[in-house]
Amino acid sequence: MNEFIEQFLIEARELVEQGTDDLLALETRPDDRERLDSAFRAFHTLKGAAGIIDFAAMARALHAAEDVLSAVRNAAEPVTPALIGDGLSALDQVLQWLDAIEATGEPPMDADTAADAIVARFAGMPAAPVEAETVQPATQAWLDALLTAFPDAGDRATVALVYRPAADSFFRQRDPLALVEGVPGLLGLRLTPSEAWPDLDLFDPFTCQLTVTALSTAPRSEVEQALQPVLDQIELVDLSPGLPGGPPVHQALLEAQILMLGVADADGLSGRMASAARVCANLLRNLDRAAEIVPVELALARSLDAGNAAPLTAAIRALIDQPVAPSEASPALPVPTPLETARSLRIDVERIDALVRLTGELTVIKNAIGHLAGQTEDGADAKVLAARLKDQHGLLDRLVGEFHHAVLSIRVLPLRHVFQRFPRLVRELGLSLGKPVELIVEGDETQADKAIVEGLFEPLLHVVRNAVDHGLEDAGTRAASGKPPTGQIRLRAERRGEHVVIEVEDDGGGVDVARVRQVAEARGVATAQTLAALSEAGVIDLIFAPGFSTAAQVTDVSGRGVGMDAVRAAVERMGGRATIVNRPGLGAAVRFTLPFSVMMSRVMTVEAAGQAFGVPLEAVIETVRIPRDSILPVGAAQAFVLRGRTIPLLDLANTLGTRESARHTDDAIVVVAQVAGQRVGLEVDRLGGRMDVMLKPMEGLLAGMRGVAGTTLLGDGRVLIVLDLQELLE
Amino acid sequence: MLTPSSTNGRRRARVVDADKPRVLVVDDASLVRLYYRDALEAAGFQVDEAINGLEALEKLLLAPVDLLVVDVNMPRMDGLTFVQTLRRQPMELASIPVLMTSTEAGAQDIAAARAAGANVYLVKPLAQETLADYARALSGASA
Repeated sequence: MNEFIEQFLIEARELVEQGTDDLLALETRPDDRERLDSAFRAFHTLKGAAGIIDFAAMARALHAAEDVLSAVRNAAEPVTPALIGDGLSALDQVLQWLDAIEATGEPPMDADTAADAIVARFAGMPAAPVEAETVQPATQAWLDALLTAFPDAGDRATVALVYRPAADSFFRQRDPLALVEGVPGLLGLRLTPSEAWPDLDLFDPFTCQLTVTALSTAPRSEVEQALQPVLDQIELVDLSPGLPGGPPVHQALLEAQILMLGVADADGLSGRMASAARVCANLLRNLDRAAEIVPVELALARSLDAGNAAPLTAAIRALIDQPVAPSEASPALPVPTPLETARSLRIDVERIDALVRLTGELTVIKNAIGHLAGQTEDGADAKVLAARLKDQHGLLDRLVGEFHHAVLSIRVLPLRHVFQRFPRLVRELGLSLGKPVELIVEGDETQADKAIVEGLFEPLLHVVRNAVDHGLEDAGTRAASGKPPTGQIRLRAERRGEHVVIEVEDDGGGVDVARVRQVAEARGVATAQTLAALSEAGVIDLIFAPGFSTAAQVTDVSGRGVGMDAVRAAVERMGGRATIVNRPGLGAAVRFTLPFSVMMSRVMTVEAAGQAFGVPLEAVIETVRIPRDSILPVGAAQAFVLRGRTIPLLDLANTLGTRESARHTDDAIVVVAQVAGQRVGLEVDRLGGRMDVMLKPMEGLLAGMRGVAGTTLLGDGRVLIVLDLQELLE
Repeated sequence: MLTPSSTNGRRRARVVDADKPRVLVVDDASLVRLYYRDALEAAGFQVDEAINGLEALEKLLLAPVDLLVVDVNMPRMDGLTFVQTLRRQPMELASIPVLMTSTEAGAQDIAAARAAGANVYLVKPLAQETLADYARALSGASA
């Protein structure tokens, strides 16, 4: 996929999120000026982005929305629920288009009809007078030259003008120069020949061959007023206030980098690209926007790779076009700045800096070890060397730990990424079910591993749907039990030690345990006998069983009983647990307890049939040597007795199907592990040490291998296969 | 020992210097160098000078800087050739931001500076504050 499209998708998704967020906030607080501005900018920037990738239909649809929002901004129109709804569905359509582009790499061909519908919907509302398009200033040669000639004036000028007087101006109108001199607030004036001067004998002194360019601090209207007689020969450009939060010098500098990169056939391209990127990074640092440096550096890497400045240019352009982030958040409801999307990872620059620092420290140790190696050759004392090596190993151990931590923290995202999709969803669920609902989000700044944040949406969606559909009572029942008519759903996240706890809580009637028993029996989820033996909590837990659904009527919202078992499976895949907390009459909460990071695993290494395996350390109880003659045959299997307890013995290599041959050692080396409450002995060839590993999911041929949690690389380059004992022994 | 401009008595000169962004002014006119040095030192830069492109390259190979302020017309090696050469060096040198200044304001002069690889081209005379603003922006020094 080309880089423009990639960049477009990233930005557009952020903008859709921002726009959605703003529109929803406007619905509750129609007078929130900052939200309105922010929504307008989101639509405006999206439109611009669509233009860059030549997606005319999307630009057209967004233009219609932008016009209406613009009218609202000019206080010509009120914020109405209809407008919010139309805006939201326009953004929905945009999301669908983005998905299509992501799938095919190109704008969809059939977008025109959908665009027409959006335009038609907005056409019902009066649009604002067409605003002057903001021109990218310095991309025009005359403006570029003018701003360069007056570097001091560029900061203050509000309007730049180019005046190309008609050739017969000296006869028809007032002197062009006198006219321009009458412009208020004139900061700088340049006269250039319209074309190269002709030979002197062809030169006609009565023809005006000048082009006048000038900068002014006066408002556009005053400049227009002063040049009224020749307005048709004049082009005015509003100088934008520059890079958000920064003085105009930054804007000019960013533009200058694009222009420098645009020079064709220039040599030293890598060097120029590197310097352009460095300048951009410096500018961002200067503006306290250091977090945006990473995309520029990634673009530089792509550009250097491809030997082509296009990716870098696009990234710089994106910096210029970025919507102005409000410098002061609204006191009541802060406008969230668009952050990382989960598809691409935007990384806090501090985290990168930490990695850079650690890399430096690692280099120091590398050098020290190199030095020690040299001493070994020179025949230094082995004991001294050993002590020093041990020191270095200690340092290295600490550093790797820090490195590991730093790398993992890169993968960490705030849960906002997934939570922010819910206000919109709950609003629509409520509308379609005819239940007034309020969603309260708490702790969305809580962080979790990227894989978890990405994997949470589906299960949460099921749970939230269920809460609105089944959890909340209808208005009549609520009134009868003295509850306010609007139901509440709380979506809450919290970090507890190494876990992240996420809850979806409703203030509905709670789980009807008797009804769960009934349904479970009717659907064959559990027998009457089992049910009788189950505690109340056990019964409630049946909600997660396959084939269970308590929806008396199948609604188009909650579907048909594929919900909660899929939810539990999804949460368990991420290494978590799903439970229900019931408060009869007051509501119910579904709780996910998830690991903070899914990547870490402490293992004990063992060897069997020449292959290294990792056994999860939390499962290992002890390691023992068992004399072969104490191993007892139990049917076709084997067992041994350890401290009065009989423990089944499995040959690890055999279990994995990698060896058949019998052994000849006197003692069997056995790892005693606890799996699903049972003890089991695993016979191995050799015991290794303990280590922390980062698991990589299995790929390719190995993906289907049972009993394997993942792989990691050992220091000697061998692959360590980390076992999933539970799956292995099932 | 304290630097004359430092008012923070707890920090030693060497530390202060190491913290300061470094700029190399490349110009054959000593008055211009002095003018720039004055502006840049006041803005918190550590300033070094070179009188032409060749001397500048020699100095850079010894110690890279955070920013170059380069004149166009100079003897022995002019600014355009210098910047072109710079951009072909290893990344550490090639990526140094270049602010090019000259008295010429023609479109072809700007284009030539860009073609050589200058990050920005400003027309002399340059107000000291303007130079300081651009230098801070280009080098990432805090304003």
